Amino acid sequence: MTVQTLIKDIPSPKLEKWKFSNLPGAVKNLELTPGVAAWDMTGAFDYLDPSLRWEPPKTAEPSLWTLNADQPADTLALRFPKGRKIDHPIHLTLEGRPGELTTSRLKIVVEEGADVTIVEHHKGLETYWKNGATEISVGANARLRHYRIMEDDPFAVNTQAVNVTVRRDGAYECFTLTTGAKFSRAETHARLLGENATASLSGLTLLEAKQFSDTTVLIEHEAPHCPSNQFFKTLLKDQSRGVFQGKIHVHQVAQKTDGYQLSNNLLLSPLAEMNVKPELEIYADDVKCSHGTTTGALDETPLFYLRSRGLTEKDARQLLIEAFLGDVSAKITDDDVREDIEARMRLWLG
Amino acid sequence: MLQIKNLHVEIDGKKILNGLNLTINPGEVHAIMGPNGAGKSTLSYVLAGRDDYEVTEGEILLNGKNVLEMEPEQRAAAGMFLAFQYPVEIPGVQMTNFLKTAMNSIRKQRGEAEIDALDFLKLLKARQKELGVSDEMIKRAVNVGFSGGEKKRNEVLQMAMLEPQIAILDETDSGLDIDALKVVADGVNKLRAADRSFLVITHYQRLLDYIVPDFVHVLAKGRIVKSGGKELAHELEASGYAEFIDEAA
Repeated sequence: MTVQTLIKDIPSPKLEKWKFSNLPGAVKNLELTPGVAAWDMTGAFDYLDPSLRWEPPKTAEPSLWTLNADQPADTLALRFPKGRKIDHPIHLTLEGRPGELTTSRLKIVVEEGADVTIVEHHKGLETYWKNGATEISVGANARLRHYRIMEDDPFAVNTQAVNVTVRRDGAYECFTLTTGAKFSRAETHARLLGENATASLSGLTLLEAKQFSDTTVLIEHEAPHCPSNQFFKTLLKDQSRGVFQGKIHVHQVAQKTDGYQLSNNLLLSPLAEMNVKPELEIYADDVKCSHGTTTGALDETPLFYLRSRGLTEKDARQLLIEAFLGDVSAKITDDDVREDIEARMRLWLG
Repeated sequence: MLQIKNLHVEIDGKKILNGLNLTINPGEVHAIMGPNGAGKSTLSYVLAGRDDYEVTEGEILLNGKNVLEMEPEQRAAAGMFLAFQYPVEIPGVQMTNFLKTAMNSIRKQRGEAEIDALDFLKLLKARQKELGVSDEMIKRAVNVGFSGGEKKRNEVLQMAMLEPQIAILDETDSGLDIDALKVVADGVNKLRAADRSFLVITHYQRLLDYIVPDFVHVLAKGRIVKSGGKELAHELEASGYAEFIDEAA
Protein backbone atom coordinates (compact mmCIF):
# COMPACT_ATOMS: atom_id res chain seq x y z
CA MET A 1 0.00 0.00 0.00
CA THR A 2 1.10 3.53 -0.48
CA VAL A 3 2.52 5.49 2.38
CA GLN A 4 -0.42 7.89 2.32
CA THR A 5 -2.84 5.14 3.32
CA LEU A 6 -0.41 3.80 5.92
CA ILE A 7 0.43 7.04 7.67
CA LYS A 8 -1.55 10.16 8.35
CA ASP A 9 -0.19 13.55 9.22
CA ILE A 10 3.28 13.43 7.78
CA PRO A 11 4.98 16.69 8.85
CA SER A 12 5.11 19.05 5.90
CA PRO A 13 7.05 22.20 4.98
CA LYS A 14 4.08 24.23 6.18
CA LEU A 15 5.45 23.69 9.69
CA GLU A 16 8.28 26.05 10.60
CA LYS A 17 10.44 23.15 11.83
CA TRP A 18 10.09 21.51 8.42
CA LYS A 19 10.24 24.56 6.18
CA PHE A 20 13.23 23.28 4.19
CA SER A 21 12.35 19.59 4.22
CA ASN A 22 9.62 18.07 2.13
CA LEU A 23 9.07 14.68 3.74
CA PRO A 24 5.60 14.17 2.19
CA GLY A 25 7.19 14.76 -1.21
CA ALA A 26 9.99 12.31 -0.51
CA VAL A 27 7.69 9.44 0.50
CA LYS A 28 4.86 10.17 -1.91
CA ASN A 29 3.84 7.09 -3.90
CA LEU A 30 6.20 4.80 -2.03
CA GLU A 31 4.70 1.34 -1.84
CA LEU A 32 5.54 0.15 1.66
CA THR A 33 4.38 -2.45 4.14
CA PRO A 34 5.04 -2.19 7.88
CA GLY A 35 8.10 -4.13 8.97
CA VAL A 36 9.63 -5.00 12.29
CA ALA A 37 12.87 -3.35 13.30
CA ALA A 38 15.39 -6.11 13.84
CA TRP A 39 18.51 -4.73 15.44
CA ASP A 40 21.73 -6.58 14.96
CA MET A 41 23.66 -6.20 18.19
CA THR A 42 27.21 -6.73 19.36
CA GLY A 43 28.06 -6.41 23.03
CA ALA A 44 24.58 -5.32 24.04
CA PHE A 45 22.98 -8.51 25.38
CA ASP A 46 24.11 -8.09 28.97
CA TYR A 47 22.43 -4.74 29.13
CA LEU A 48 18.99 -5.51 27.70
CA ASP A 49 16.27 -4.44 30.10
CA PRO A 50 12.70 -4.95 28.85
CA SER A 51 11.33 -3.44 32.05
CA LEU A 52 12.31 0.07 30.93
CA ARG A 53 9.28 2.02 29.85
CA TRP A 54 8.96 3.81 26.54
CA GLU A 55 7.96 7.39 27.34
CA PRO A 56 8.05 9.44 24.17
CA PRO A 57 7.44 13.17 24.31
CA LYS A 58 4.01 14.40 23.29
CA THR A 59 4.18 16.90 20.47
CA ALA A 60 1.24 19.10 19.55
CA GLU A 61 1.95 19.22 15.85
CA PRO A 62 2.86 16.33 13.56
CA SER A 63 6.45 15.21 14.13
CA LEU A 64 8.69 12.19 13.77
CA TRP A 65 7.55 11.30 17.29
CA THR A 66 3.85 11.26 16.38
CA LEU A 67 4.63 9.18 13.28
CA ASN A 68 6.60 6.80 15.44
CA ALA A 69 3.78 6.56 17.99
CA ASP A 70 1.18 5.81 15.31
CA GLN A 71 2.91 2.65 14.16
CA PRO A 72 3.34 -0.59 16.06
CA ALA A 73 6.92 -1.15 17.16
CA ASP A 74 9.00 -2.98 19.71
CA THR A 75 11.36 -1.10 22.00
CA LEU A 76 14.96 -2.06 22.25
CA ALA A 77 15.88 -0.98 25.77
CA LEU A 78 19.38 -0.93 27.19
CA ARG A 79 20.36 -0.07 30.73
CA PHE A 80 23.95 0.52 31.73
CA PRO A 81 24.14 0.12 35.49
CA LYS A 82 25.55 2.59 37.95
CA GLY A 83 29.29 3.04 37.84
CA ARG A 84 29.87 0.53 35.03
CA LYS A 85 32.67 1.38 32.62
CA ILE A 86 32.26 -0.53 29.39
CA ASP A 87 35.52 -0.92 27.50
CA HIS A 88 34.31 -2.04 24.10
CA PRO A 89 31.88 -0.08 21.99
CA ILE A 90 28.43 -1.57 21.62
CA HIS A 91 27.37 -1.88 18.01
CA LEU A 92 23.75 -1.62 16.94
CA THR A 93 22.91 -2.10 13.30
CA LEU A 94 19.55 -1.49 11.70
CA GLU A 95 19.13 -2.69 8.18
CA GLY A 96 16.36 -1.40 5.96
CA ARG A 97 14.62 -4.03 3.84
CA PRO A 98 13.13 -3.46 0.40
CA GLY A 99 9.60 -2.12 0.51
CA GLU A 100 9.35 -1.83 4.28
CA LEU A 101 8.35 0.92 6.62
CA THR A 102 10.35 0.19 9.72
CA THR A 103 9.41 1.93 12.93
CA SER A 104 12.07 1.54 15.57
CA ARG A 105 12.30 2.55 19.21
CA LEU A 106 15.53 2.61 21.10
CA LYS A 107 15.81 3.42 24.77
CA ILE A 108 19.17 3.95 26.40
CA VAL A 109 19.62 4.58 30.10
CA VAL A 110 23.13 5.33 31.29
CA GLU A 111 23.03 5.33 35.07
CA GLU A 112 25.07 7.49 37.40
CA GLY A 113 28.80 7.22 36.80
CA ALA A 114 28.51 4.69 33.95
CA ASP A 115 30.54 5.15 30.78
CA VAL A 116 29.59 3.60 27.47
CA THR A 117 30.16 3.99 23.75
CA ILE A 118 27.45 3.05 21.28
CA VAL A 119 27.97 2.89 17.55
CA GLU A 120 24.77 2.86 15.54
CA HIS A 121 24.97 1.70 11.92
CA HIS A 122 22.27 2.33 9.40
CA LYS A 123 22.24 0.56 6.08
CA GLY A 124 19.81 -1.27 3.86
CA LEU A 125 18.71 -2.29 0.42
CA GLU A 126 16.60 -0.47 -2.16
CA THR A 127 13.54 1.56 -1.25
CA TYR A 128 12.46 1.66 2.37
CA TRP A 129 11.64 4.13 5.07
CA LYS A 130 13.12 3.83 8.51
CA ASN A 131 11.50 6.06 11.09
CA GLY A 132 13.35 5.71 14.35
CA ALA A 133 12.98 7.31 17.73
CA THR A 134 15.58 7.17 20.46
CA GLU A 135 15.23 8.16 24.08
CA ILE A 136 18.42 8.59 26.02
CA SER A 137 19.04 9.49 29.60
CA VAL A 138 22.57 10.18 30.79
CA GLY A 139 22.79 10.07 34.58
CA ALA A 140 24.86 12.18 36.94
CA ASN A 141 28.57 11.96 36.18
CA ALA A 142 27.89 9.41 33.45
CA ARG A 143 29.08 9.52 29.87
CA LEU A 144 27.55 8.30 26.65
CA ARG A 145 29.44 8.48 23.41
CA HIS A 146 26.91 7.93 20.66
CA TYR A 147 28.21 7.58 17.12
CA ARG A 148 26.00 7.10 14.11
CA ILE A 149 27.05 5.90 10.70
CA MET A 150 24.23 6.52 8.27
CA GLU A 151 24.95 4.59 5.10
CA ASP A 152 21.48 3.87 3.85
CA ASP A 153 20.65 2.89 0.31
CA PRO A 154 20.51 5.88 -2.07
CA PHE A 155 16.80 5.15 -2.69
CA ALA A 156 15.90 5.03 0.99
CA VAL A 157 14.31 7.44 3.42
CA ASN A 158 15.66 7.58 6.95
CA THR A 159 14.19 9.82 9.60
CA GLN A 160 15.56 9.69 13.12
CA ALA A 161 14.52 11.60 16.22
CA VAL A 162 16.61 11.56 19.37
CA ASN A 163 15.69 12.96 22.77
CA VAL A 164 18.46 13.17 25.34
CA THR A 165 18.51 14.32 28.92
CA VAL A 166 21.79 14.86 30.73
CA ARG A 167 22.06 15.13 34.52
CA ARG A 168 24.63 16.93 36.63
CA ASP A 169 28.24 16.42 35.43
CA GLY A 170 27.02 13.99 32.79
CA ALA A 171 28.26 14.11 29.23
CA TYR A 172 26.58 13.24 25.96
CA GLU A 173 28.75 13.16 22.85
CA CYS A 174 27.24 12.41 19.47
CA PHE A 175 28.83 12.35 16.04
CA THR A 176 26.86 11.46 12.93
CA LEU A 177 28.35 10.58 9.57
CA THR A 178 25.74 10.70 6.85
CA THR A 179 26.49 9.49 3.35
CA GLY A 180 23.37 7.50 2.57
CA ALA A 181 19.66 7.83 1.84
CA LYS A 182 17.76 9.77 -0.79
CA PHE A 183 16.09 11.72 2.00
CA SER A 184 17.28 11.83 5.58
CA ARG A 185 16.55 13.88 8.62
CA ALA A 186 18.33 13.56 11.94
CA GLU A 187 16.67 15.47 14.76
CA THR A 188 18.27 15.80 18.14
CA HIS A 189 16.73 17.44 21.17
CA ALA A 190 19.14 17.57 24.08
CA ARG A 191 18.24 18.87 27.53
CA LEU A 192 20.93 19.74 30.03
CA LEU A 193 19.23 19.29 33.39
CA GLY A 194 21.99 19.59 35.99
CA GLU A 195 25.03 21.78 36.55
CA ASN A 196 28.00 21.06 34.30
CA ALA A 197 26.04 18.66 32.12
CA THR A 198 27.55 18.78 28.65
CA ALA A 199 26.39 18.02 25.15
CA SER A 200 28.70 17.81 22.17
CA LEU A 201 26.83 17.27 18.93
CA SER A 202 28.73 17.12 15.70
CA GLY A 203 28.52 15.57 12.33
CA LEU A 204 29.62 15.32 8.78
CA THR A 205 27.21 14.98 5.90
CA LEU A 206 28.52 14.02 2.47
CA LEU A 207 25.97 14.33 -0.30
CA GLU A 208 25.92 13.66 -4.02
CA ALA A 209 23.49 13.17 -6.89
CA LYS A 210 20.02 14.27 -5.73
CA GLN A 211 20.41 13.34 -2.08
CA PHE A 212 18.78 15.41 0.60
CA SER A 213 19.81 15.52 4.23
CA ASP A 214 18.58 17.58 7.16
CA THR A 215 20.26 17.96 10.53
CA THR A 216 18.06 19.61 13.11
CA VAL A 217 19.32 20.26 16.62
CA LEU A 218 17.80 21.84 19.69
CA ILE A 219 19.85 22.13 22.84
CA GLU A 220 18.06 23.33 25.95
CA HIS A 221 20.11 24.67 28.79
CA GLU A 222 17.95 24.13 31.87
CA ALA A 223 20.66 24.40 34.55
CA PRO A 224 23.56 26.78 35.22
CA HIS A 225 27.19 26.21 34.18
CA CYS A 226 26.54 23.88 31.27
CA PRO A 227 28.68 23.91 28.13
CA SER A 228 27.23 22.75 24.82
CA ASN A 229 28.86 22.44 21.46
CA GLN A 230 27.51 21.95 17.95
CA PHE A 231 29.88 21.48 15.04
CA PHE A 232 28.47 20.33 11.71
CA LYS A 233 29.88 20.19 8.23
CA THR A 234 28.27 19.38 4.93
CA LEU A 235 29.90 18.68 1.61
CA LEU A 236 27.55 18.89 -1.33
CA LYS A 237 28.14 17.61 -4.84
CA ASP A 238 25.91 17.55 -7.91
CA GLN A 239 22.30 18.54 -7.21
CA SER A 240 22.27 17.55 -3.57
CA ARG A 241 20.58 19.61 -0.88
CA GLY A 242 21.45 20.01 2.74
CA VAL A 243 19.75 21.59 5.71
CA PHE A 244 21.10 22.58 9.08
CA GLN A 245 18.82 23.97 11.74
CA GLY A 246 20.46 24.48 15.08
CA LYS A 247 19.04 26.17 18.12
CA ILE A 248 20.40 26.90 21.55
CA HIS A 249 17.68 27.64 24.06
CA VAL A 250 18.93 29.05 27.35
CA HIS A 251 16.37 29.01 30.15
CA GLN A 252 16.33 31.78 32.72
CA VAL A 253 17.88 29.58 35.40
CA ALA A 254 20.82 28.61 33.15
CA GLN A 255 23.32 31.30 34.09
CA LYS A 256 26.94 30.82 32.97
CA THR A 257 25.85 28.81 29.97
CA ASP A 258 28.58 28.37 27.38
CA GLY A 259 26.90 27.53 24.10
CA TYR A 260 28.66 27.23 20.79
CA GLN A 261 27.35 26.38 17.37
CA LEU A 262 29.15 26.19 14.04
CA SER A 263 27.93 25.03 10.65
CA ASN A 264 30.35 25.00 7.71
CA ASN A 265 29.19 23.92 4.30
CA LEU A 266 31.05 23.47 1.06
CA LEU A 267 29.22 23.51 -2.26
CA LEU A 268 31.11 21.61 -4.95
CA SER A 269 28.56 22.19 -7.66
CA PRO A 270 26.62 25.27 -8.76
CA LEU A 271 23.43 23.21 -8.52
CA ALA A 272 23.95 22.09 -4.93
CA GLU A 273 22.02 23.93 -2.26
CA MET A 274 22.36 24.42 1.48
CA ASN A 275 19.80 25.95 3.82
CA VAL A 276 20.97 26.98 7.25
CA LYS A 277 18.94 28.28 10.15
CA PRO A 278 20.92 29.04 13.30
CA GLU A 279 18.94 30.26 16.29
CA LEU A 280 19.65 31.48 19.77
CA GLU A 281 16.91 31.92 22.34
CA ILE A 282 18.29 33.27 25.59
CA TYR A 283 16.44 34.10 28.79
CA ALA A 284 19.40 34.26 31.20
CA ASP A 285 21.56 37.37 31.42
CA ASP A 286 24.99 35.96 32.20
CA VAL A 287 25.74 33.56 29.38
CA LYS A 288 28.21 33.08 26.56
CA CYS A 289 26.65 31.91 23.33
CA SER A 290 28.04 32.10 19.86
CA HIS A 291 27.15 30.73 16.52
CA GLY A 292 28.58 30.92 13.07
CA THR A 293 27.85 29.52 9.70
CA THR A 294 29.59 29.53 6.34
CA THR A 295 28.40 28.23 3.00
CA GLY A 296 30.34 28.63 -0.19
CA ALA A 297 32.30 27.12 -3.03
CA LEU A 298 36.01 26.34 -2.91
CA ASP A 299 37.96 29.58 -2.90
CA GLU A 300 39.89 30.20 -6.12
CA THR A 301 42.80 31.97 -4.42
CA PRO A 302 44.14 29.02 -2.38
CA LEU A 303 43.49 26.82 -5.40
CA PHE A 304 45.75 29.01 -7.54
CA TYR A 305 48.34 29.20 -4.77
CA LEU A 306 48.54 25.41 -4.57
CA ARG A 307 48.66 25.02 -8.35
CA SER A 308 51.43 27.58 -8.61
CA ARG A 309 53.40 25.22 -6.34
CA GLY A 310 52.93 22.34 -8.74
CA LEU A 311 49.75 20.61 -7.56
CA THR A 312 47.36 19.63 -10.32
CA GLU A 313 43.92 21.20 -10.14
CA LYS A 314 42.44 17.85 -9.07
CA ASP A 315 45.00 17.33 -6.30
CA ALA A 316 44.68 20.93 -5.13
CA ARG A 317 40.89 20.58 -4.91
CA GLN A 318 41.20 17.30 -3.07
CA LEU A 319 43.65 18.79 -0.58
CA LEU A 320 41.37 21.76 0.08
CA ILE A 321 38.34 19.50 0.49
CA GLU A 322 40.21 17.31 2.95
CA ALA A 323 41.34 20.43 4.77
CA PHE A 324 37.75 21.64 4.95
CA LEU A 325 36.65 18.33 6.43
CA GLY A 326 39.73 17.85 8.57
CA ASP A 327 38.85 19.18 11.96
CA VAL A 328 35.29 17.91 12.37
CA SER A 329 36.26 14.30 13.02
CA ALA A 330 38.48 15.55 15.86
CA LYS A 331 35.24 15.86 17.81
CA ILE A 332 35.14 12.06 18.04
CA THR A 333 36.97 11.26 21.26
CA ASP A 334 37.04 7.48 20.75
CA ASP A 335 40.20 6.84 18.70
CA ASP A 336 39.04 3.61 17.04
CA VAL A 337 35.71 5.06 16.00
CA ARG A 338 37.40 8.21 14.73
CA GLU A 339 39.74 6.19 12.56
CA ASP A 340 36.85 4.11 11.25
CA ILE A 341 34.80 7.19 10.40
CA GLU A 342 37.77 8.94 8.79
CA ALA A 343 38.38 5.85 6.63
CA ARG A 344 34.75 5.91 5.50
CA MET A 345 35.08 9.62 4.77
CA ARG A 346 38.18 9.05 2.63
CA LEU A 347 36.48 6.21 0.80
CA TRP A 348 33.59 8.50 -0.08
CA LEU A 349 35.96 11.21 -1.31
CA GLY A 350 37.66 8.61 -3.52
CA MET B 1 65.84 31.68 -20.19
CA LEU B 2 62.72 33.85 -19.89
CA GLN B 3 61.56 35.99 -22.79
CA ILE B 4 58.55 38.26 -22.63
CA LYS B 5 57.66 39.68 -26.02
CA ASN B 6 55.24 42.50 -26.68
CA LEU B 7 52.95 41.41 -23.86
CA HIS B 8 49.48 42.98 -23.80
CA VAL B 9 47.18 42.07 -20.91
CA GLU B 10 43.66 43.10 -19.99
CA ILE B 11 41.50 42.49 -16.99
CA ASP B 12 37.75 43.00 -17.38
CA GLY B 13 38.41 44.88 -20.59
CA LYS B 14 40.86 47.27 -18.96
CA LYS B 15 44.35 47.36 -20.45
CA ILE B 16 47.05 46.78 -17.83
CA LEU B 17 50.12 45.78 -19.83
CA ASN B 18 50.80 47.45 -23.18
CA GLY B 19 53.62 45.80 -25.08
CA LEU B 20 56.01 44.74 -22.36
CA ASN B 21 59.36 43.32 -23.49
CA LEU B 22 61.89 41.67 -21.20
CA THR B 23 64.61 39.07 -21.61
CA ILE B 24 66.23 37.40 -18.63
CA ASN B 25 69.29 35.22 -19.14
CA PRO B 26 70.42 32.40 -16.82
CA GLY B 27 71.95 33.63 -13.58
CA GLU B 28 70.72 37.19 -13.93
CA VAL B 29 68.79 39.15 -11.36
CA HIS B 30 66.40 41.70 -12.83
CA ALA B 31 64.46 44.21 -10.82
CA ILE B 32 61.25 45.80 -11.99
CA MET B 33 60.33 49.01 -10.22
CA GLY B 34 57.40 51.23 -10.79
CA PRO B 35 54.62 53.28 -9.31
CA ASN B 36 51.41 51.78 -7.96
CA GLY B 37 49.09 50.69 -10.73
CA ALA B 38 51.87 50.31 -13.28
CA GLY B 39 51.03 46.63 -13.77
CA LYS B 40 53.73 45.05 -11.59
CA SER B 41 51.49 42.53 -9.86
CA THR B 42 49.63 41.82 -13.08
CA LEU B 43 52.93 40.81 -14.64
CA SER B 44 53.69 38.41 -11.81
CA TYR B 45 50.23 36.81 -11.92
CA VAL B 46 50.29 36.48 -15.70
CA LEU B 47 53.67 34.76 -15.48
CA ALA B 48 52.36 32.33 -12.85
CA GLY B 49 49.16 31.66 -14.79
CA ARG B 50 46.32 33.19 -12.85
CA ASP B 51 42.96 32.92 -14.63
CA ASP B 52 41.53 36.41 -14.35
CA TYR B 53 43.89 37.99 -16.86
CA GLU B 54 43.46 37.99 -20.60
CA VAL B 55 46.56 38.08 -22.75
CA THR B 56 45.51 39.83 -25.94
CA GLU B 57 48.88 39.96 -27.66
CA GLY B 58 52.45 38.83 -27.27
CA GLU B 59 54.16 35.77 -25.88
CA ILE B 60 56.11 34.45 -22.94
CA LEU B 61 58.79 31.82 -23.50
CA LEU B 62 60.54 29.81 -20.81
CA ASN B 63 63.54 27.97 -22.28
CA GLY B 64 61.85 28.35 -25.65
CA LYS B 65 58.53 26.86 -24.51
CA ASN B 66 55.28 28.78 -24.73
CA VAL B 67 54.33 29.54 -21.14
CA LEU B 68 50.91 30.95 -21.97
CA GLU B 69 49.70 27.52 -23.06
CA MET B 70 50.65 25.96 -19.74
CA GLU B 71 48.52 25.45 -16.63
CA PRO B 72 49.92 27.01 -13.44
CA GLU B 73 51.16 23.59 -12.23
CA GLN B 74 52.90 22.96 -15.56
CA ARG B 75 54.69 26.28 -15.21
CA ALA B 76 55.83 25.22 -11.74
CA ALA B 77 57.14 21.97 -13.19
CA ALA B 78 58.90 23.93 -15.93
CA GLY B 79 60.81 25.83 -13.24
CA MET B 80 58.74 28.94 -12.60
CA PHE B 81 58.10 30.14 -9.07
CA LEU B 82 56.13 33.11 -7.82
CA ALA B 83 56.72 34.40 -4.31
CA PHE B 84 53.33 35.98 -3.62
CA GLN B 85 52.91 39.54 -2.44
CA TYR B 86 50.08 38.29 -0.25
CA PRO B 87 50.80 34.64 0.60
CA VAL B 88 47.55 32.72 0.95
CA GLU B 89 46.37 31.16 4.21
CA ILE B 90 45.23 27.57 3.83
CA PRO B 91 43.61 26.35 7.03
CA GLY B 92 43.78 22.61 7.55
CA VAL B 93 46.75 22.03 5.25
CA GLN B 94 49.84 21.47 7.30
CA MET B 95 53.15 23.00 6.13
CA THR B 96 55.20 19.80 5.88
CA ASN B 97 52.46 17.98 4.02
CA PHE B 98 52.08 20.95 1.68
CA LEU B 99 55.80 21.21 0.91
CA LYS B 100 56.13 17.49 0.32
CA THR B 101 53.02 17.35 -1.87
CA ALA B 102 54.30 20.30 -3.93
CA MET B 103 57.76 18.76 -4.40
CA ASN B 104 56.32 15.41 -5.41
CA SER B 105 53.75 16.97 -7.73
CA ILE B 106 56.56 18.69 -9.61
CA ARG B 107 58.66 15.53 -9.65
CA LYS B 108 55.72 13.51 -10.92
CA GLN B 109 55.13 15.95 -13.79
CA ARG B 110 58.79 15.68 -14.70
CA GLY B 111 58.58 11.90 -14.66
CA GLU B 112 60.82 11.64 -11.61
CA ALA B 113 60.39 9.38 -8.58
CA GLU B 114 58.88 10.76 -5.37
CA ILE B 115 61.32 12.07 -2.84
CA ASP B 116 62.30 9.68 -0.07
CA ALA B 117 60.61 10.72 3.21
CA LEU B 118 63.90 10.88 5.06
CA ASP B 119 65.67 12.85 2.32
CA PHE B 120 62.78 15.27 2.34
CA LEU B 121 63.06 15.87 6.08
CA LYS B 122 66.82 16.33 5.85
CA LEU B 123 66.44 18.87 3.08
CA LEU B 124 63.68 20.66 4.94
CA LYS B 125 65.76 20.85 8.14
CA ALA B 126 68.71 22.29 6.22
CA ARG B 127 66.56 24.91 4.47
CA GLN B 128 64.80 25.80 7.71
CA LYS B 129 68.14 26.39 9.36
CA GLU B 130 69.36 28.63 6.54
CA LEU B 131 66.21 30.73 6.66
CA GLY B 132 65.65 30.70 10.41
CA VAL B 133 62.29 28.94 10.09
CA SER B 134 61.26 27.32 13.37
CA ASP B 135 59.88 23.78 13.73
CA GLU B 136 56.86 25.31 15.37
CA MET B 137 56.09 27.27 12.18
CA ILE B 138 56.48 24.12 10.10
CA LYS B 139 53.89 22.32 12.24
CA ARG B 140 51.22 24.93 11.57
CA ALA B 141 48.79 25.16 8.68
CA VAL B 142 50.11 27.00 5.62
CA ASN B 143 50.44 30.71 6.46
CA VAL B 144 47.74 30.47 9.13
CA GLY B 145 48.58 32.69 12.07
CA PHE B 146 51.90 33.67 10.45
CA SER B 147 53.12 37.23 10.88
CA GLY B 148 53.85 39.26 7.75
CA GLY B 149 57.54 38.45 8.05
CA GLU B 150 56.87 34.74 8.59
CA LYS B 151 54.68 34.61 5.50
CA LYS B 152 57.41 36.13 3.33
CA ARG B 153 60.03 33.87 4.86
CA ASN B 154 57.73 30.95 4.11
CA GLU B 155 57.63 31.99 0.45
CA VAL B 156 61.42 31.92 0.34
CA LEU B 157 61.42 28.54 2.11
CA GLN B 158 59.12 27.13 -0.58
CA MET B 159 61.42 28.61 -3.22
CA ALA B 160 64.41 26.97 -1.57
CA MET B 161 62.65 23.61 -1.48
CA LEU B 162 61.33 23.72 -5.04
CA GLU B 163 64.57 25.09 -6.54
CA PRO B 164 63.05 26.93 -9.50
CA GLN B 165 64.91 28.16 -12.56
CA ILE B 166 63.18 31.50 -12.53
CA ALA B 167 61.82 32.99 -9.34
CA ILE B 168 59.53 36.00 -9.37
CA LEU B 169 59.47 37.95 -6.12
CA ASP B 170 56.37 40.11 -6.00
CA GLU B 171 56.81 42.92 -3.48
CA THR B 172 58.57 40.52 -1.15
CA ASP B 173 59.74 43.50 0.91
CA SER B 174 56.29 44.90 1.64
CA GLY B 175 55.33 44.69 5.28
CA LEU B 176 58.77 43.65 6.43
CA ASP B 177 60.85 45.40 9.05
CA ILE B 178 64.54 45.74 8.34
CA ASP B 179 65.57 42.59 10.24
CA ALA B 180 63.01 40.44 8.49
CA LEU B 181 64.02 42.01 5.19
CA LYS B 182 67.64 41.00 5.75
CA VAL B 183 66.69 37.41 6.56
CA VAL B 184 64.55 37.14 3.45
CA ALA B 185 67.21 38.79 1.26
CA ASP B 186 69.92 36.50 2.65
CA GLY B 187 67.73 33.53 1.81
CA VAL B 188 67.32 34.73 -1.73
CA ASN B 189 71.02 35.50 -2.12
CA LYS B 190 71.93 31.97 -1.02
CA LEU B 191 69.81 30.68 -3.89
CA ARG B 192 71.53 32.80 -6.50
CA ALA B 193 73.20 30.49 -8.99
CA ALA B 194 74.51 30.45 -12.54
CA ASP B 195 71.48 28.53 -13.76
CA ARG B 196 68.84 30.36 -11.73
CA SER B 197 67.36 33.75 -12.51
CA PHE B 198 65.31 36.19 -10.47
CA LEU B 199 62.74 38.80 -11.27
CA VAL B 200 62.39 41.10 -8.30
CA ILE B 201 59.31 43.29 -8.39
CA THR B 202 59.32 46.15 -5.95
CA HIS B 203 58.06 49.63 -5.35
CA TYR B 204 61.01 50.68 -3.20
CA GLN B 205 64.74 50.62 -3.74
CA ARG B 206 65.34 49.36 -0.18
CA LEU B 207 65.14 45.64 -1.04
CA LEU B 208 67.69 46.12 -3.83
CA ASP B 209 70.33 47.16 -1.29
CA TYR B 210 70.21 43.56 -0.10
CA ILE B 211 69.33 41.69 -3.27
CA VAL B 212 71.61 43.51 -5.68
CA PRO B 213 70.25 43.28 -9.22
CA ASP B 214 72.16 43.08 -12.49
CA PHE B 215 69.50 45.10 -14.27
CA VAL B 216 66.81 47.52 -13.19
CA HIS B 217 63.73 48.31 -15.28
CA VAL B 218 61.09 50.93 -14.78
CA LEU B 219 57.54 49.77 -15.44
CA ALA B 220 55.03 52.53 -16.05
CA LYS B 221 51.64 52.46 -17.75
CA GLY B 222 52.02 48.82 -18.65
CA ARG B 223 55.43 48.78 -20.33
CA ILE B 224 59.07 49.12 -19.57
CA VAL B 225 60.06 52.75 -20.08
CA LYS B 226 63.66 52.70 -18.91
CA SER B 227 66.33 50.09 -18.21
CA GLY B 228 69.71 50.36 -16.61
CA GLY B 229 72.10 48.91 -14.04
CA LYS B 230 71.67 48.82 -10.30
CA GLU B 231 72.40 52.55 -10.02
CA LEU B 232 69.04 53.25 -11.67
CA ALA B 233 67.32 52.12 -8.49
CA HIS B 234 69.11 54.84 -6.54
CA GLU B 235 68.20 57.47 -9.10
CA LEU B 236 64.58 56.45 -8.81
CA GLU B 237 64.71 56.63 -5.05
CA ALA B 238 65.95 60.21 -5.34
CA SER B 239 63.73 61.45 -8.18
CA GLY B 240 60.55 59.37 -7.80
CA TYR B 241 58.39 58.02 -10.59
CA ALA B 242 56.70 61.24 -11.69
CA GLU B 243 58.70 61.73 -14.88
CA PHE B 244 57.91 58.21 -16.09
CA ILE B 245 54.23 58.51 -15.47
CA ASP B 246 54.19 61.66 -17.63
CA GLU B 247 56.53 60.16 -20.21
CA ALA B 248 54.48 57.03 -20.63
CA ALA B 249 51.28 59.02 -20.88
